[in-house]
Amino acid sequence: MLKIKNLIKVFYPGTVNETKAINGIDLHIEKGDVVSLIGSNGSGKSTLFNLISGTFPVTSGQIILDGSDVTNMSEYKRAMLIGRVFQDPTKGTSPTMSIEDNLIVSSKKGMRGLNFSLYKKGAREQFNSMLDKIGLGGRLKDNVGLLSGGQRQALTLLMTMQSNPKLLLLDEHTAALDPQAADRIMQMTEDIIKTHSLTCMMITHNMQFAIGFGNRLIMMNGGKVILDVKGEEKKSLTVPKLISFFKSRGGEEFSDDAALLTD
Amino acid sequence: MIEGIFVDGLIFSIMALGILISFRILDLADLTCDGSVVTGAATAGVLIINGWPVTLALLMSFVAGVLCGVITALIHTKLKVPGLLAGILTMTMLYSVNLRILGNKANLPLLKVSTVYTNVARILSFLPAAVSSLIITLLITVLIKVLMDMFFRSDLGLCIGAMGGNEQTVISMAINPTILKVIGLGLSNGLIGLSGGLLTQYQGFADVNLGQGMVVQGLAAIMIGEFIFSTNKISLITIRAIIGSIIYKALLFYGRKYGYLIGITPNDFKLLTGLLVILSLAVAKLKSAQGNSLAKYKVLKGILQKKETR
Repeated sequence: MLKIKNLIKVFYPGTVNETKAINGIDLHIEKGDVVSLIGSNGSGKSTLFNLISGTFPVTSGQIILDGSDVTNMSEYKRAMLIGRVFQDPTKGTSPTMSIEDNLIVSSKKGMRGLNFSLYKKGAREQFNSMLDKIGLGGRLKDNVGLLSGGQRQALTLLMTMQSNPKLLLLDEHTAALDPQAADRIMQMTEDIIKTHSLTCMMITHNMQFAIGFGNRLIMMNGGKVILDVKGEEKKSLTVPKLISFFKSRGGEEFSDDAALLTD
Repeated sequence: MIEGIFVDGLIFSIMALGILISFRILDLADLTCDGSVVTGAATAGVLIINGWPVTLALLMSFVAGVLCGVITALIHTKLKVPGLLAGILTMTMLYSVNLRILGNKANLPLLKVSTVYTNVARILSFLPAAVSSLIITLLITVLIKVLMDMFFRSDLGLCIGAMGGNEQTVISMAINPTILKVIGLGLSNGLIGLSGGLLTQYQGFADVNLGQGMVVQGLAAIMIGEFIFSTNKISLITIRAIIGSIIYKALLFYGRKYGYLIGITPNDFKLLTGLLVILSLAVAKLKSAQGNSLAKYKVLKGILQKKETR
């Protein structure tokens, strides 16, 4: 599904601010893999997502998505296959438009024409029954800006799934929410992944989430993958085990992030 | 006289609708307007003098405006120049282009030629000229408003609106934002050009300086409209801009008529228009600041809850 070969990303090359954010990553995500990605701040998790989605160009290396080389493809073209949910609940929706307008925009991938999909028979009913499932039934005409962070993130997930992406990237998508909302969104995420048998990568700071989620766990540090476990091996993981592993590999930075990582 | 205010206001409102597309729907501060309104006026004027049918001349003023908008959009997206600067560049370059279109003259009188308004006055000769002018301007404005509403209700139009609110949403849907910006700014300036083409025929001349300060005036009209009521429906947003334009033109008219009583002359109108826009911005800022502090409070509450559950 996703092959990453010797990926390197350097920010501000040749200046005093030069930073090697991704330092040679080789990764093969199989179709159907559900991966949780953990690591301390600055370990390169979000940069990796940005490189996969094409938000910025790679310094060197190769990214192959669903059989085609997307390394130099622009972000919007890659989006054909990728669904992405950000930490910031405001990033996935257009706040000045109503919920129904947003749902039309996200209804499918690619350029649109002069159709009036919202005014087709049954379109609104269908949207309403979708919204019912996330507790927003009957609010088609409300502006998205009026929703709470949790409601907006639920809507974003719903919108992301409308177009059936092949790869779902979740960038700490529950981190900005209150605990109840975070639990609800996590539950919804797991349901979606199961029903659509998706390939998915999720960044999280919460080790408990990371251990409980999916079939594979990847830990990053200093722009490198330092742990990649699957299947039975992953099932036997515990938070203390992860921390002691991180301490043995991660070095001094870890202690600062201990609170964040253990939660 | 009251008809005059309405005709003036309606012609102006077509431009305000164009500015509405760039400033409000695309969320792009596009200053091309000051140039493209003249391009539209000059194109229509020159074509009519050369014997083109008025409808075709009007259509060409729309096309000329579209070209201006497309140029700004391409400078903005392809060269990654901020939208504001891209607009200023096009506007400045258009000054020379407009003089060229006008045959290197600053002013082009439309005397003894048939315009939309003379034609309609001839057909509806049983009505006073002022009334027939109002009827045709109203028809054109309503037609444009309806078409614009329809466009922004279509899938493509909704995507353009979504991009204005949050560009990432359309990128995530595998849509090239450059194309949407080209379409949006093209339509915006097309309407502005068309408004220029109508204005030229109404006032009977095209002038290279008629675009000066148009963006600010259009914004003032839009903001007056926004004071009337708040909505997220495109049909109401457009009607709001039209009403705002008429009110703005009425304010100017009565300012001219009675302003001397408090010592205001037409020379002061640009200053007053600017102050009106600043006032509207201040009020909007105040409103959103209230909203923001509410949002911050919610986030803070969320963090506190998180800490408690630990």
